Amino acid sequence: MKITCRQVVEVLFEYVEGELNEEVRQQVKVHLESCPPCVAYVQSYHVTVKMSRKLEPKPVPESLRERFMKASQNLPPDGPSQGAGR
Amino acid sequence: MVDTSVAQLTLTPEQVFRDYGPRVYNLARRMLNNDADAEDVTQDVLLQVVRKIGTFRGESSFPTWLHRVTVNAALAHRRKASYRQEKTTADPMEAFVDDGRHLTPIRSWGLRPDQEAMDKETQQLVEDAIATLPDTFRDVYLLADVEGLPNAEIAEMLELSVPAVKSRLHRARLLMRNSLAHHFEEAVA
Repeated sequence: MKITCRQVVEVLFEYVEGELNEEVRQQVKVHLESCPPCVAYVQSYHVTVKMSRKLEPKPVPESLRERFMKASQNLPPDGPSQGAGR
Repeated sequence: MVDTSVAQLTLTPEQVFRDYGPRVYNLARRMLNNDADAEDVTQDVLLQVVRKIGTFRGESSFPTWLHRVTVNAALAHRRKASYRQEKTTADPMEAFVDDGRHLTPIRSWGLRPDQEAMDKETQQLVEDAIATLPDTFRDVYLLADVEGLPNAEIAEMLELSVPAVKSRLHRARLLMRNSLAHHFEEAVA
């Protein structure tokens, strides 16, 4: 059975995560063989996720370090009975 | 990053700030879209770390705990500040014509998935796209695709089912892709 571009996008999460059943996975594969827009769409979906994983942290403001150091000096001790909050 | 697989963790406040500050601050900043609020959350979380770090005895659960405490603090801050602003975004699943084809032309991006470093401009475009996601999608996207946490862990943190996490993550990825597309699609010759 042929599937549409919309249906490909609908199952894209399961497709890239390897969670699709074999029948639907084959239908997506066949669709991609003859649909350049969907190939571009799938590629850009991958790129989006990859770029997000590579985001670099912004430096923590120096003013926060000073504020935190001051606050940590006045911190009351935590009793062992309170555990680690799990 | 400190090795949490050995002995009891004993860190000075300075070490706590250096080792965990960036992770906590950046997650809070992205969740709240506000630097000043992120600083408040970071301060609260790191003080909790200082108080409780000695109770972790080489447990690998520390990173999970740190994420959970940061997420809880950010969500509480969001509720307290009442600045939850649900943004309206175009439904990505409506970008198709009646026969199921794409409504607008989809072109290749000038980037490849295996491309290594991102320049500052590209980093900012991705940060901006994340900032425009509605809160419900942004939280899941940050934890899954920026922080790299497993879906089950995210579900527990946000009190969602795993299918709900997957559904929101899929939607968030589509919104992100669409938001970035006009920056990266190659021009037609």
